[in-house]
Formats: sequence, C-alpha cells, structure tokens
Amino acid sequence: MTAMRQRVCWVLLMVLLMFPLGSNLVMAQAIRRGGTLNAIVKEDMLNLNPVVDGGFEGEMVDDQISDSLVNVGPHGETVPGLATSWAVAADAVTYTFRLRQGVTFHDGTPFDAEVVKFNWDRMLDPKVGYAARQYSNLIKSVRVVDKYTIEVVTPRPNADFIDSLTTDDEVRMHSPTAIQKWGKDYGSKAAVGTGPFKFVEWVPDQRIVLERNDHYWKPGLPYLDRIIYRPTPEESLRMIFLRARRADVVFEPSLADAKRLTKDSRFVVVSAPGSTLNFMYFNTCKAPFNDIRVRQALSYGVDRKAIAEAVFLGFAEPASGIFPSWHPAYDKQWEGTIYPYDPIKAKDMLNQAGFNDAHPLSFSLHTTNVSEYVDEVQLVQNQLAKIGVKVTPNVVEKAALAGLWNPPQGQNPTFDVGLYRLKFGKLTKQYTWSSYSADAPFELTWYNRACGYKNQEMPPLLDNALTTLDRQQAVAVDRQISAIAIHDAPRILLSWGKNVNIIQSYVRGMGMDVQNWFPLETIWLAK
Amino acid sequence: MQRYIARRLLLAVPVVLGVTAFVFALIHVAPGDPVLLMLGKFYDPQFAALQRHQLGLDRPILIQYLLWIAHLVRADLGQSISQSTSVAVLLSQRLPITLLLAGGSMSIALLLAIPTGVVAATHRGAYLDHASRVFAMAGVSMPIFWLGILLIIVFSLALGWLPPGGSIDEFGWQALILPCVALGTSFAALMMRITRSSMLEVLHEEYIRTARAKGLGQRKVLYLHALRNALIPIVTVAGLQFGTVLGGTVLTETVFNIPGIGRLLVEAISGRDYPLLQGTILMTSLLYVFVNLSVDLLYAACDPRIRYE
Repeated sequence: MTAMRQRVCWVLLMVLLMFPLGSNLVMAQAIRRGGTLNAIVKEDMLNLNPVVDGGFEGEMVDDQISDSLVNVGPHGETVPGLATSWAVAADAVTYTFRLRQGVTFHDGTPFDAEVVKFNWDRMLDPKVGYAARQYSNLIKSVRVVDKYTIEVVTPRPNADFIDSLTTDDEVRMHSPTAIQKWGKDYGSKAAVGTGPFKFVEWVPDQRIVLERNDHYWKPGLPYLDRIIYRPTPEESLRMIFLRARRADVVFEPSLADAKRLTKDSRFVVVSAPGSTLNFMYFNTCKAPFNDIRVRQALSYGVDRKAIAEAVFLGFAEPASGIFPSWHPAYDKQWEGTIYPYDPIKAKDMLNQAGFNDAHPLSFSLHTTNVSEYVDEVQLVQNQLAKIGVKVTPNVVEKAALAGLWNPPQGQNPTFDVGLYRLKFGKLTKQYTWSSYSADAPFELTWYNRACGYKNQEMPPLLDNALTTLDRQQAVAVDRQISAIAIHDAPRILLSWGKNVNIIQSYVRGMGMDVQNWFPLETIWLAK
Repeated sequence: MQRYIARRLLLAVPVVLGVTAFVFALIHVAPGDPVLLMLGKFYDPQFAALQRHQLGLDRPILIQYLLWIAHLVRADLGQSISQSTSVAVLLSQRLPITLLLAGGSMSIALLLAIPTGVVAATHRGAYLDHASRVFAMAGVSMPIFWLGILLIIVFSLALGWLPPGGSIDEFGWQALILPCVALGTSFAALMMRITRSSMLEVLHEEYIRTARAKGLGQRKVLYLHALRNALIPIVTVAGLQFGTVLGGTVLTETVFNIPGIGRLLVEAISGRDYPLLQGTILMTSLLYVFVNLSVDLLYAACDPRIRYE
C-alpha cells in the first residue's frame, strides 16, 4: 500500500483536478431525487465498445455506464472503484488488486476476478478490437488469484499504470454475458456495466438515453432517473435549447456564449482548469523550421497573453511550460519567463537566421474550420506581420488536417506550421512522448506527432519519467523534459484551455475534472 | 409511354454512374484517411496498413471504383467505415426523414407560390403585386440557416408554439414544420415569380379572351384555363429546383438537428467514409433522376397534346 499512499499524496497535489462546485449548494438544500437531465453534446458518440475508439462523447457516456477498478475521487485523489485496495510488488511490475464483493452488472452478471480477466484479455486480443497494440504496452498478463483477487503484470515499470486505470475507457469493466450475447453489436445496441446509469438506447445523431441503476454499488446514488444526451453540432441551436430550458447542461459551449451567459442568473458557467493545449507545431523536417533560431524567434513574436484574452475570453491561461498550472511538474518560477512577447528580439533572431525585409520569412499556417482556431490564426498572422513574417492562413477540415499531420508511412509531412488544440486528460507519458519524440516504446496516437523533431537527450529522459514510480523524482525528470522542450521550441505552446460547461441554475451537485467528464451520479435537479 | 420510361431509366444509368465516379475521384484527391479517423487514438501505422488492405483502400482508385460497381450490381452498398453498419441500413433509416423534409418544403413552397403568383399576375402593378415582389426578394435573399435560426427564436423560443426541429419520433410531425418553412421559403419566392410571369403570358392569349366572352367566371378562367396552361414552366422549374431542395436539406438538417441524409452526407465527407459517401450520392442522384422523369411525365397530364412514344 506504500505505492498507493504515495500516489494519493501525489494526486492530492494535482491542484484542481476536480472541483466540488456544487457541494455547497448540496449542503444548503435537501437533495431532490428523480428527474431527467437533458445534456447537449457537440457531436454524437462513435461507440460504447471499450475496445473501439468511442470518441470523447463515447468515453463521457461510458463513464456513467461502467466502472473501473480505481477512480478519481472528489479531490483528485485515486480512490477505490471496483477494487477496494491494491499494491505493487517490489519488482515494480506486479500489481495485486482486491476486488469489491457483491457487485452485479446491469444484466445481473456478478462481478469478480474472472470478469476482470475476461475484459482485459479481450482488450489485449488483436482480433477483437483496435486497442490491443496500445494496451499490450500497459498490461503483459492478467492472473486470477482467487474469486476476488487479481494479479496484473506490466511489461516494465510504468508510472502511468494506475492513472491509465482511472482515466482510460478501454480498461473499464463490461459484462462478459452481454459482450458475448451482442457480439459485433456490442457498444452500439447494448452496453452493460456496473455504473450508476444503465444504457437504454442510442439513436445515432438524435439521442443517447441512460436510466438509473437501482442496484448501484454506491448506496443512495445516483439521484437522477434518466439522462438524455443530444448531439447538437449547431452552436446557436445549443444556446436556443438552453434558453428554452430544453437543455439542463451544455457541454463545451462556444466560449463567446459562455462569456455572454456569465452574468445571466438563470445559468451557471462552470469552468475549471483543464488539460486542453492550444499550440502551434512546426514541421521540423523542412527548412526553415529545422532551424532552432527561427522557431525561437517566432516564439518571441507571438503574444500568447493577448491571444488567451482575445480568443479564449479568460477561459485559458497562457502556457508557462509543457504542463498546465495544476500539474505537479508545473514550475511557478517559469511564469511569464517563457518566450515573453518581444517583437524586437524576435526580429533580431530572424535576421540572424537570414530573414529580413528584403528576404522575409513566409509560411502557411494550417488549422481546422472552427471559428476559435481561425480567430487564433488571424491574430498570429497580425502579430507575426509586425516582425516582417508573412503568414498565409490555410483552413482545412479536420480529416484533411489529420492527413497532413500524419502522412503515409515513410513520407515526411509537407505542411509548414499547424495550429490546433488537443485534450490530453491526465497528461500521461503518452502526451510527452508523442509531443517530443517519435521513438516511443509504445504506439503513439496519430495526432500530436512530433513532426520530425529530434533531440538525443529526450528519449532517455522520457523513458526515465515513464519508469520512475517515485512521484518526486518523476516531477524532477518531467521538469527537465519541459526545459528542453521549451528551449528547442518544436511547438509554440499558446495556452492551456479551461474546461467550460453551462448549466441551468437549478442543476446541483456537479463536479468537473480535468478531462471534462461530469461525474453525473451526484447531480440532482432543484426544480 | 412505357418504352419512353424504360428509355429514360436506361439513360439515367450513365448519369448516375458519372456522378458517383466524379464524387469518388474528388474525395480521393482530398487529403484525409478514413482508417486514420476510424482507428482514432488506437492508430498505428502497421495496423492501419492491415486495415487499409482489408478495406481495399490500398488498391488503385479505378479498381476500388469498379469493385464498388460490382457490389452495387449485387445490390450491396457495402459497410460504412465509420459507423460499422451497412450503408443500406443507414440510408433506409435516414431517407424517409429527408424525403418528408424535402416533400414538405416543396408542398409549402407550391401552396404559397401558386396562389400568390396568380394574384400578382391578375393585379399587375397594384399593391398586391408589389408586396409579392418584396416577398420574393426577401425569400431569395435570406440564407436558409439565418431564416432557420430566426424561426426557431420566434416560434420556438419566444412563443413556444413549435419544437425547434429534432426527430419526428420524439417531437412528432410538428418537428418538421419550421425546417420545411425555412427550406420552402426561398423556393416559394422563385416559384412565385415563375408563376406570375407564366400567368401574365397566358392571360394575354386569345383563348382566355374567348373564355371570358363566353361568360365564364373569373375563378374558372384563372384556374381552369389560364393556370393549367401556365403550369408547364412551373412544373419544369419545380423539378429542377428539387436538386436545390435536396442540397438545402444538408444545411436545414444541421440547423434543426434533423437526422436525415444531409447530415449523413456531412458525416461521410468529414469521416472520409467512402462507401457511405458513395451510397448517399447514389441515392440522391437517383432521386433527382426520378423527379425529373416524373416532371416530364407530368407534362402530359398538364397538356393533353403532349404524348410520349
């Protein structure tokens, strides 16, 4: 349990991982049970099958249906979920979990060690889903010790292991009976977990309906009878639904709408620090972006504070390093010191790199057709024009941007510079590896590629951070990584965006975590 | 008549195939990889290559297209890459909604346009004619998404009379009223102008003067003699406009959150879901061909002198 205690201490330091936003209100009023929560989401989910990518919305919905062995607690700590306790052996790769007894799935299937083995063996089977390759780097083997004890061996010491269990959708427990019964349709026509809500139906592009699990293992929860998620891509319609009280909550509204409703007493704009990074990424495979002087000059030429204020309307903090302010590896001393806006210095550095008024630097800046991204690109264009850099905005749809970012195997990307925004959850080592090295010991996601950036110092440090289970030591290593990444500037880290949602004033008991998944089991409606 | 229909249907085959081939080539030229998007966070190059091979995406574009045709001949539209469901099933779920939306919009447009056009023609230069011209200008000028949002704000948010779109199974047929009005308005404006000018032309014909000389009432003259003869250009434009209406459903379905073919098409393009895109384009092309054939057949009903051999 030493490792567990260390982990709890560390996670407690993860400032603002979860905000008990509604807790005061819960104390002040008697909780009202029942009712339906109408939730508006931006896009439809893709699937609830844990071994297939369900998209952000799919993960958010599955969070209500299924449980993991360990969870994130109300103050960000790692707390027991379907496992009541766990320990790591001296070899740093063998974990033993004691499982909760008396838990049943929504279909009545009892939860035990065989269920965990079934789920994780299935996840690791490449014939079943897409998750296998990625998770074979997380779990090497699963062994049933007894009915309520399971032993897991990781391929190597992995500082992310427990964090991955709390955040990843793929490691959640689903009913083996239901998975076998529904076969290929599992995840679209059925999803059966042990969570606070049961899956009722999914009508693509219309609604996802969940209803209360009366036999939830947490006594007294949940409070709501029903949740209906409605995918609504049109921004203005989302606000109309909210104003017409057809929606109780709007997940991820446009920031302009959120700002507008901040002073409206009928609504509460809920925001909390998140892990959404807004950044520009250089294609370091090609000149002149393979020249560190050019990358650093452009970093000085972008006013990140102005962008955070103008585009993100206060819902973002200018980035001071590769970690946001709630992360333990964040160093407060770096605030305001990382590439402060300095157009004169930027122009001098560009001169040294061979660019001047007679021979100006010009490049195309790719982004996707989301209004906030386009606004950001325009601001960057204006700011860089002041140091004589000509930026041509190139707005493409997401699929095209993904194609540019990730060219066919063996080919280098052809774009100049991109601007995008990514949500990184608890910022595991997947984030640092994929951002700053192409040679990870595990499979990297298609997005967030390092775009040719290489520094020989990086891989050993990244590896060290991955295998160091001691959190204090890991923080020191993460800061070294951050320092190199900032110096080399393969990206301009613009800002860390907050998670923003809008709720009706009568929605109570809501928390938010850095991943922006609401724990809806504690929500109730005071109406 | 039957031979004529058969010939027209045969001629439709190259048209539809041409459209699908053009779209197929166009979407393959655009950057973006369906496997990349399908695997999402589980993407890795080796596994992606295997998936591409299984889906046949590693073959030359021409072969891919010919394979699609070969499956089509066997009435197999294939599997959607992004939604892991049969394309035929997805189309069968979404098509009725879009047909209701397009049909409703056309009906509203014609019900609005024909009487207004007739009145404008018979009251040429009067206030009614000017008012109809203003309506026509406004109708053509207002973008569908703008009008749609405006209608939602007034009739759903402020007055609370109608649902702001959504699905029929949840909100009933009322869910289609605002989208049909939004989509039908611009179409009505154009049709009204066509009706007016066509009626003006017919009203100067000698047989109208004869009908009046026989002592027939104004209504009979207008609707039995004049309008029937003025219908051919109206029907022609209505048929041609059907394509515009189908295109308009893409915007309307997005604004009103309606799960029809339009939204499916957007999803197919953004997800680079080639089989779904091909299926959707095939379906809309067939619809367009069918409507145009129906328009040609309607000519005979409008004017008994027209016969198809």
